Amino acid sequence: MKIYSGHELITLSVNGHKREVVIRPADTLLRVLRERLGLTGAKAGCENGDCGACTVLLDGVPVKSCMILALETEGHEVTTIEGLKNERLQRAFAEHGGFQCGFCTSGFLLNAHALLSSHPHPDDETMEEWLSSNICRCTGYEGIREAIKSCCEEVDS
Amino acid sequence: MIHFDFDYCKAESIEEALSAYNTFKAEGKSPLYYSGGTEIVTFCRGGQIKPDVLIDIKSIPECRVFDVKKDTAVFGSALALSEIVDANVFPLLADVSRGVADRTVRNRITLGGNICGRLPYREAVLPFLLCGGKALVAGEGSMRWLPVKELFDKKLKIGPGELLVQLEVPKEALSFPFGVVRRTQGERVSYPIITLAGIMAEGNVRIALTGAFGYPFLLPDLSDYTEGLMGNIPSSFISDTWASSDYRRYLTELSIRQIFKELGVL
Repeated sequence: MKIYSGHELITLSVNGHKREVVIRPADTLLRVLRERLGLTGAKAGCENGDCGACTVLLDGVPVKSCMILALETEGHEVTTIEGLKNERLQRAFAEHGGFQCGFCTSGFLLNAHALLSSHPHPDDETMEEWLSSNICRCTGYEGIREAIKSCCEEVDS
Repeated sequence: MIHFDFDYCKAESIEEALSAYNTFKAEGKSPLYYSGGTEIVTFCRGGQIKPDVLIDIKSIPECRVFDVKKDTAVFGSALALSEIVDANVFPLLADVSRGVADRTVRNRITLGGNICGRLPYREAVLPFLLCGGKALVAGEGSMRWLPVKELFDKKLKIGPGELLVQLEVPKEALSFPFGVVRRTQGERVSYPIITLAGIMAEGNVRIALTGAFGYPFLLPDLSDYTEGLMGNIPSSFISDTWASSDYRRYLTELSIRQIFKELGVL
């Protein structure tokens, strides 16, 4: 059994690319993404698992990167907001006023992306359950919901 | 950011985890078993705990079991609560688990972590308390099944270095009618003030609760909701910034009545 100690060179798979990085075992994924890999889309909001601004996808599942050690993600695929390119959902957020200051947006987008991937037509209860993981302090929830719903409707039509 | 260093290792078997724990302990270090990590990472960042080594157990196959056998249903301690909610094999456990934290956090919080953590809520243990569940605990040189109701005597009775591997319930428990009541200060996603779960058991109502006393508590079977608080539970309700002891007692009375309603016996 390998014991990680001090500083370790590991390989992470982020947005489809292998990235070698030196980390401490105590480094959270959020800190490694932002400070070692320069991927600042995941925001350090509360760093306490409450706000969801640091949400990333781990093998497609939304998780809060402030509550995970970077080491744990070795061998798994991490997707950050930098890995979402010109998705319909991103355009929908712009069209429906799904963001105001923008600090929460990357977390909401990734969570919503995962939601629509696993539930292409989520009912209100499912959408509420998923989106309550993220907080928008500008209270732009209505625009966010409308943006997500517009993507469901587009699939329908 | 976590402001101190610790070592990290990933155990692939129960024996490896136990051996690592004992080796680190013998070296004078303070090891911790680690699975979802939501609580450990948060407490490390806040400085409430300072382990020297984390032993990750979520790759141990026995801790990932999710199986309905001939007579029992078995749940590995490293299953994420979201996995349990989505599978809905044990609807009572799924319903109780759905109230823990939020969806994204539940993608990481594990069954064993919720039960063995430092936070007093431990909601996921309620279904196992109610349904005569058993827990598989691994220790140095031994694996023992013990009734879940013996797992808590105000404190968790799993010794240092012991590992909660699995929990099981009789298969018939998967279809018991149930009720769940969770009271928070107001927001849906918030730490609970109290959580109660109840089932019908031999014509009576059986209720277990957490959040009231700092440890999970199983009430004696009740035939009437007015029996709920009549000498059946400790008098020492927690009083904190979330709720006074009087308010907790009031909510508990109210919730016992609601469980009776949900079970259709009121």
